[in-house]
Amino acid sequence: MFGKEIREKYFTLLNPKVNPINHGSYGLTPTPVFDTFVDSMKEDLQHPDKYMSETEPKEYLEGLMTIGEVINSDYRNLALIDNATTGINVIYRSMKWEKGDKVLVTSVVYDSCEHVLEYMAQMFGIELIKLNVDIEVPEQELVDSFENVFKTQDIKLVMFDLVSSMPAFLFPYKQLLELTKKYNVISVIDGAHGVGMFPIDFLTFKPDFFTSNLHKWYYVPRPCAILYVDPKFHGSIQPFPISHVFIDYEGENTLIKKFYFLASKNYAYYNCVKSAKGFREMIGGDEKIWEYCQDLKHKVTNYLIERWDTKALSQHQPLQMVNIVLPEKLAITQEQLMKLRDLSTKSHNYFQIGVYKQYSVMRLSFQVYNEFEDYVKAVEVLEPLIAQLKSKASL
Amino acid sequence: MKYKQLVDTVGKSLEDEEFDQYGENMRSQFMLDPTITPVNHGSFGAVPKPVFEAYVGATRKICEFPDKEFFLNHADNYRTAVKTVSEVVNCDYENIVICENATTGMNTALRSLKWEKGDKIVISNVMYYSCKTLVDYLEYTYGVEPVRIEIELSDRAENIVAKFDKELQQPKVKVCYVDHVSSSPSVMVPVETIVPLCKKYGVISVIDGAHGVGFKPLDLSELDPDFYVSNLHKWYFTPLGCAMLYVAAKYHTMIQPFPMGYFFITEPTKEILIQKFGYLGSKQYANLLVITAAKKFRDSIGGNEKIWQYSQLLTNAAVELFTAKWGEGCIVGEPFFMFNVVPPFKVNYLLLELKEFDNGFYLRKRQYDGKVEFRMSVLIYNCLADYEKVIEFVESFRE
Repeated sequence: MFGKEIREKYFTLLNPKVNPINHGSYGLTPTPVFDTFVDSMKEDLQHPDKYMSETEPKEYLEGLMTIGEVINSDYRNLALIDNATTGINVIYRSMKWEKGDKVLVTSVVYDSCEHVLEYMAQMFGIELIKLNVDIEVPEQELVDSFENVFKTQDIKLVMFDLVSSMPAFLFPYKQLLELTKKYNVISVIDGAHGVGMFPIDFLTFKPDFFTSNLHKWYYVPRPCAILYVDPKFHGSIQPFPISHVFIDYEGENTLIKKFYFLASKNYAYYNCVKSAKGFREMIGGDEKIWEYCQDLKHKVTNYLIERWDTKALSQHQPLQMVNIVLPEKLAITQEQLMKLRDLSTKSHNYFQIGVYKQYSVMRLSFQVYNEFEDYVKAVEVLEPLIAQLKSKASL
Repeated sequence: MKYKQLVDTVGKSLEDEEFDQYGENMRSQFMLDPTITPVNHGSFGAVPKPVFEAYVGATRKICEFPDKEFFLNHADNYRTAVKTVSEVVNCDYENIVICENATTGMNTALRSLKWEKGDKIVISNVMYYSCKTLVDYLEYTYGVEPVRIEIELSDRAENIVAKFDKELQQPKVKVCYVDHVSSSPSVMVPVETIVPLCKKYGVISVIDGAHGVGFKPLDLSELDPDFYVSNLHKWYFTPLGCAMLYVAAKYHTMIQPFPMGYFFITEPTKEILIQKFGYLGSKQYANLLVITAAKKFRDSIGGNEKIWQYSQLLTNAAVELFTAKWGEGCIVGEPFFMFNVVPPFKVNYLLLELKEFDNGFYLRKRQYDGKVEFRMSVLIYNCLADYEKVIEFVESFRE
């Protein structure tokens, strides 16, 4: 029932004219989960005092427990927040920084996450060190390049992506986490693309901090994310905004007390975590979802490699995204890219194209509502659009 | 009876035909459960059905093609929202930031300032609890020292001003935090006199107008504070987390959003607040799209002036009702659309608290000196019968 059938049945929020091959940027909510979202908002507005004092705290806890089970984590180490960017901001703005503290990030770090560190540099004088990451080298070489830095410099904290955004790339997080333990470095993992994409198991995954959107690959309405905090930081971490509760460490429910209510806002997402899980089970479960997306990814990727006589990056990682290196005839400048986005969105298409190393790369996403024809249609829109832009440029 | 009228209601009465659409007749236009007695608008507001529909519609619209919404339309939507709000509060749109709630606005302002150990912040005993915890955080994190002013409910405006005047002259006072209309107890603070005092003493004025926009006429150009935050989801009817932060021009470069977004800007540039705050990651942005819907709804039911006139007339009537039942002294402080009432008898507080939801009530209340003080809110969907029900309900817990 995947592909067109499920799209018409359960992904009806999408404009039917739109060809959705970019799930990775904003995700897409299944309509039954969206209905839960609307119902919860209604429940709130019918008697806001009651909702905020009784329902919201209960649904927050249920949301935490649900996702705790999904990733095998003690729910008391988790917080539900808006998005991964917020998670990263909460971590850095709670940290006790000292002038000269060194923070290691990678060359594929997400812009917003780098900006908050630049801000910390401005405010507290921390030093940012950027490791150039080549996603095409063998995994061990990449791990070694991190170890070299840890060996030679006194790094306080390292942030890397679980799966980077542009280009999509799954970091060897288990090996990297071993290194952080060995060299006593605080680990922050940006899992903007994380929960819902492949199994994440906190029995074998022990970072200090991890944040993951749930509105992308787990189908919770936007915005919803989790923040994982190792117990040793429960006292020092503080939410934004500071609302009714300002405490240091107050036992094992510290995080819940700190994060469950952050002033008046839309809390209907919390009730959707359960609903999203239920939806995933109803359509066959995580394994089936992943299997379908992987098959589709390989079929599409192999087709494009042949069509364009090109290569793909990260194809053999367990991601529902792939990076296709655009051939010379489709490679475009930044300025042409903006024009392309403008033109393509008007014709109900969106192409997630960026620059990586010397390449123009297009990131494709694969979801249960996609099928092979979507990508063929997409490239048939893309090719003439780029040809048109290029011929204009050469005039 | 002596109390300040917020709006001019001379020659008007609740019975006037122009107010027929309010009260009971207005209730069905709100999302509120029809079986409850909603007398606590002040905490979380209430949302008109057409505005909620616009909110759901806006959310759906974003889901239709998110890439397009965020790439092509979002920046314009944000700018439109900012402009709409700036017209309501009469200021340059470049000074306005839209955020989720007043608490976030207050955190954004106070946590962007560069604090040094020993810097002082003037606060008062009526400050909102979340702002008190924020000051605790500043104290804990940066060694900021709070200087607390005690406002009595019996204080007249000039007494309050004198108290601020005294503390603002202390050395190392960096910030003065003032509630415009405090939450619990409800006190209207003469910010229009306190802001100029702050300027005189070189202190940064931060006004908490959690109950601000929609509650009373606001002219921020005239008030000219350094920072002013106000919820829009309370008295302006915008659903589920919508607020504004006013930032005076000289702080535009310094202030930074939470979370840090696509841009980290440290140099002056045009529309700098829009650039900094316009897109803060994947969030629920429907609140931006319905500010106009809220404005339209207000206009469609007669506009601000009429809303305020009815609320004032009903406040007067409710005050008379409470006074007739519970005596002259039961109203504490100057009554306005939120007022404090203390019954002249002992109330079984715990039992009342236990029973209120089941009986369709929620009464904002606090205990002090063996008394219970209730805060009543008054708005266009309320009628006198609501307060009669409150009296009956509270009397049933008389000890």
